[in-house]
Amino acid sequence: MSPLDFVIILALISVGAGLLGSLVGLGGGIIIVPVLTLLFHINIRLAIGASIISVIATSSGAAIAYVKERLTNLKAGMFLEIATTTGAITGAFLTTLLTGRILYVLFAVVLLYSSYSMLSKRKTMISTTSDDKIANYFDLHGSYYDQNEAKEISYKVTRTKLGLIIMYIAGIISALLGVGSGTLKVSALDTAMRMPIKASTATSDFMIGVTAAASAGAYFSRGQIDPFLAAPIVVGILIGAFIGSKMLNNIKPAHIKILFLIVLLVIAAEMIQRGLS
Amino acid sequence: MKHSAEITISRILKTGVIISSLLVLTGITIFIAHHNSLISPQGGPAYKQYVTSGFRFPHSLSSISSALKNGSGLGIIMLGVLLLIITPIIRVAASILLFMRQRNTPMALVTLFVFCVLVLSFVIGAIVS
Repeated sequence: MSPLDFVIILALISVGAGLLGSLVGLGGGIIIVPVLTLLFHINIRLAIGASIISVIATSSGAAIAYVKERLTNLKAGMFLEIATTTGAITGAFLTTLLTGRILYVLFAVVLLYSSYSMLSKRKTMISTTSDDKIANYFDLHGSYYDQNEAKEISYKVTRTKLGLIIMYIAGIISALLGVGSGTLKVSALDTAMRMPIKASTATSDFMIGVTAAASAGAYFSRGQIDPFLAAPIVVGILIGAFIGSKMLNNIKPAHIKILFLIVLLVIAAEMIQRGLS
Repeated sequence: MKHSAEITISRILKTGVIISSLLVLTGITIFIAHHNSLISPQGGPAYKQYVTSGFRFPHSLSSISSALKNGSGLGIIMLGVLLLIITPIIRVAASILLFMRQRNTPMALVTLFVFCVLVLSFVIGAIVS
């Protein structure tokens, strides 16, 4: 395969990853690492470096629309970034101590967790009162205008401490594996802190970029972000995510979800095999 | 007030993403155009040499700026990648100012902390490698 062929093929795969990712609500990062390692036999550390860049690209792209629609809870997002960014730095340290094999196994575990939470129905109980001292002091509560219900929805945030702990873990995983760990972020926001689903999705997307920037900074100066991989991936994934955002209103994601689920499970099995062999 | 903050942040993200993806696209085009051999499947180098740990590319400010002076495609890609990483950091910096303008000191301090962690990450990467 010539380098030009490689660039074109990788760009096309990235368009697909960005498209699929935006349709099912998982970032493209979870596909990029397996594609690079399993398909092209690229060192997992270089794959992780390239993937974290794609995570920033998709997060920033998605956040543009969400922030404008005022779905994002900027204050809660900013506050919890204390935990995700310090977690990301911890992860960037930790990765130097772990072998490639452990990274493969860990990646498989995260894939399985993501598949599981894609299947389970998300539900939240919105609170209108909160006795959480941190949330009240920093006023992390929020409101947004729900277009389907045509009314303003106000909510109070609870259990900020638990949220911080989960976010710290999300930061570590994001840095270790080059993924956005949006699944974990969303569960911290809606299950632990009782944010409405629309607000938690938007806030999670908003936070992913900053979390990824913390580990990307470390990987960049370490020389783990290969421009030859990063270029086709960034361009491809942005195009894919853009097409996906336009298609989202006309498509029923149920079928795509099942397809994506099968893909995730196959990848997880391959990754475990790679880690244990 | 609150609304204008959201529009500012949205604009920062949009500008950063557009400029950096254009830089990356330009960089990879130049890199391939300068290396004619990359296009021919016969006799040209295999893609593998560009995607192994042994592949050398600029990843510090000084090496990127000298690569840019030479008009190197890899230098332009790395500049675009750097801008993409910096975009969320600029957004955080802008939020510090916005919280200060709202006289929300606790949140301004929280945001300042996040900003410091982000800047620190580049330093840590350069040291621990």
